[in-house]
Amino acid sequence: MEEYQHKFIDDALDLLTNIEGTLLQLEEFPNDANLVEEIFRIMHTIKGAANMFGFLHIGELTHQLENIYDAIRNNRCKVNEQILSLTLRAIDHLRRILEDHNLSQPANIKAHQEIESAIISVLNDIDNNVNKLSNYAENLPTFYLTLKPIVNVDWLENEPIHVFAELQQIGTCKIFRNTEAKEITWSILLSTDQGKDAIEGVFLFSDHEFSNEIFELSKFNLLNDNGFIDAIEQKEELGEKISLDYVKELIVEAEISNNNNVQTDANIAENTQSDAKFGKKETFKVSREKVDQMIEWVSELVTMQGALKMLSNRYLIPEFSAVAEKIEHITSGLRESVFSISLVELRTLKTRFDRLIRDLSKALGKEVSFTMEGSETELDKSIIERVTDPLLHILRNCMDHALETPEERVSLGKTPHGNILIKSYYTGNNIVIEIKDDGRGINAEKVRQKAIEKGIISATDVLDEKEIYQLIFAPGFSTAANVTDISGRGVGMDVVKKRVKELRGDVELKSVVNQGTTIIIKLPLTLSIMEGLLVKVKDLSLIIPLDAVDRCHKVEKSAIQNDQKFNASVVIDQELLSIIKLREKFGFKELPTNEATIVTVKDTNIEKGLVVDEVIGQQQIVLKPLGKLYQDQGCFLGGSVMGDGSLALVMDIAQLIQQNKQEQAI
Amino acid sequence: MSVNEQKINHYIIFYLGEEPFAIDVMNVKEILELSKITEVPETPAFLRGIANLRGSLLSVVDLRTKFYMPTVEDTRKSRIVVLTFQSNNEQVTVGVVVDRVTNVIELNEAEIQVPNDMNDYKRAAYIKGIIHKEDDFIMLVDIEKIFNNSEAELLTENA
Repeated sequence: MEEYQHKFIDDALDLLTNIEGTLLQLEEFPNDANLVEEIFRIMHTIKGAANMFGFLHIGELTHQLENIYDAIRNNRCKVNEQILSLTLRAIDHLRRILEDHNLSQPANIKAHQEIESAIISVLNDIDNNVNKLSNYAENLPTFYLTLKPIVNVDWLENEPIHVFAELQQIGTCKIFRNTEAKEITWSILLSTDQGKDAIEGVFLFSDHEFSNEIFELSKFNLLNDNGFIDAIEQKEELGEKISLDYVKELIVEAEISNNNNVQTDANIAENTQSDAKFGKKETFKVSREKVDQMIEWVSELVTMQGALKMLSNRYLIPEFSAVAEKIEHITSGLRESVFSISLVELRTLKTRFDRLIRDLSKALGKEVSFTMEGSETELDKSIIERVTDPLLHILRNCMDHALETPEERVSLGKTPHGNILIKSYYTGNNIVIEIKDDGRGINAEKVRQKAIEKGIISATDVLDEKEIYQLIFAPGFSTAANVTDISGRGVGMDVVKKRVKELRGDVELKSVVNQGTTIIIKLPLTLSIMEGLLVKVKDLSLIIPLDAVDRCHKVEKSAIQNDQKFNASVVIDQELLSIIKLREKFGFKELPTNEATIVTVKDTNIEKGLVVDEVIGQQQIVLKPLGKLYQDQGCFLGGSVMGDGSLALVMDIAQLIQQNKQEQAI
Repeated sequence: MSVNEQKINHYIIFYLGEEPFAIDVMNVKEILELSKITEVPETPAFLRGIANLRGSLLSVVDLRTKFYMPTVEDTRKSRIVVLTFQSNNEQVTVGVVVDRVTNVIELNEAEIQVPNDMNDYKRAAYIKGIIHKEDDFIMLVDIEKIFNNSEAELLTENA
């Protein structure tokens, strides 16, 4: 049972996040019936599972929430701010009590009662207001019937009262008599909850007397709509026929003027559109272990496929080669899909960001426009998990400290609403996440003063701007004058930096006073697929990340000027290029040729030429960590298994250039 | 430890030169024939490099270098013993190159003598005990100590 309870908690957390995202969408599109339906459905799922696994309080609360959304979807009330805020609050509470589902903590009991009574009061309001809220309040479909006598009998003057009486019994109806060219027909509007079958039942014994047609006009009770009835009665007075086409026209008009939730074609189209926009792919959960196992098997398959290819190239049997080629194709496809399993788009965090910003902007009275760029950038799931808290913390800081109040902003000539942008992209061997605001900015001199005050630096230290801003990440540094509710919870930017460093990433801050602050988080790729240039140095296969590669050249060795060890250069395209001879660096003998192959690489404005033996070509590789054992030693980011099962080392160009600088300094 | 406590363990016997060593099978994940080990430039000598262990990278350590013995050419009998052990609550996997692996023995823990008078003080740090079997003295290797805390920490990423 306990095992199932754990599983329930896991699932419930996911579902709650789904609801949260849907709620935030609903806030933006309050008339989108699909979103309401979705929320209702998820609530229902949680309720069922909660009751099954003994989370009774959760079951109860979701049941009540479900009632609210049931009322909304049945048009008994409309989505409003109160309901949305309450639901979000309830979701936070549910998250909290998942681990305390028996409500053992007093704080939880109190919160539970508060939320429960708030929900009940919303439900009561709905019940009381139900008739005022909407013309289409009752969920009774309306039908349009036509009756036409078949047999020209003399009771034509006597209306078929028995039929009408029966129709009255199954619902409310409105009967119109049409006289056209001596022929009498009846048009009937009937709203009933008994469905088309019941109506057909009424005519069961009179079908020799009448031909009838039944149309469902609307899912709602049109007979309660005064505008609709008035228009029809007007037409009747004029002696015109109440035709189906006319009624249909009226409905469209009525719906537009009522701006109601009845689904017209236009409405449906809009829903489909928003569906596509928030398109949910179907997903299910798999344990990490299974994925890892699969990755191992696929890697082995790739190795074997390489061997197969070698054999096929050696023996050149056409049938065999064809099979080998097919297998190569399948293997590479399989490899790509398997490795992409553990990659997750940054977009998945959007709900949490949106929620945080929504809540804080309400709490702080600051308006914010929040956007994400490049949210399709993929990160390893474990990295995403570990970088979420630092990102949320940075956002909190943005909202609390960086952004000004609307009045302040207007007086500074800015837009009343602040802007926060989270931008992510790949660069070289990193994934960069930038959090940019257009708020107050940070005064570098003030940071310096503060650091001196706190004893982090001494007054005589000479620091450039970048180094000064790094002080913000130092332990014990906090620029906030007052500890606030929102970001002053004892977690500072030093923790952000620590977390990012743990992921072997780095964090940097740039700021211009009154223009804003940008925090730049760089994260390594670890299990990321990357493009590289495969080169050879002696028997070593090296991968140079393609983003760092500028161009390749062949030069005469005599053109290389050796100033001293680790400091050679060559003129290429009339420009002096400092070069690193990899053979020399790695302690191998120099290649006895007259030519040297140079790959020019670049890292933040520094260009270097790498002398290699041979350039093999471009390769897509899966970067694997070499382990911390090698981390501080060489200039490698990791390794990669090549198609034939051999290993290549992936070069860390930034590190290489850094090392070269130090070697030259010695 | 009480003499009455009969605890039977299995140990893998391997050789470096003519010297036999033992490792608890519980720490041995698998034994591989020597495959290509890719050397990583600019790293200490005891690090032989990395090998492809079914698609993941295995750090390979030269045990001879670690035990201050002269290095020799690899032979057809050379093996990589893949060890796995806990270090700071993390599972560490690392391969060690040995000259040959011979057999598995069954031992009562009582048969293991704690070393008190080791000639080779450098290696003593890595030896947990000595097993007297037939005419041989087999040295029981203390894996955790070979990869002492700081080194084991360095290796975790390779697991």
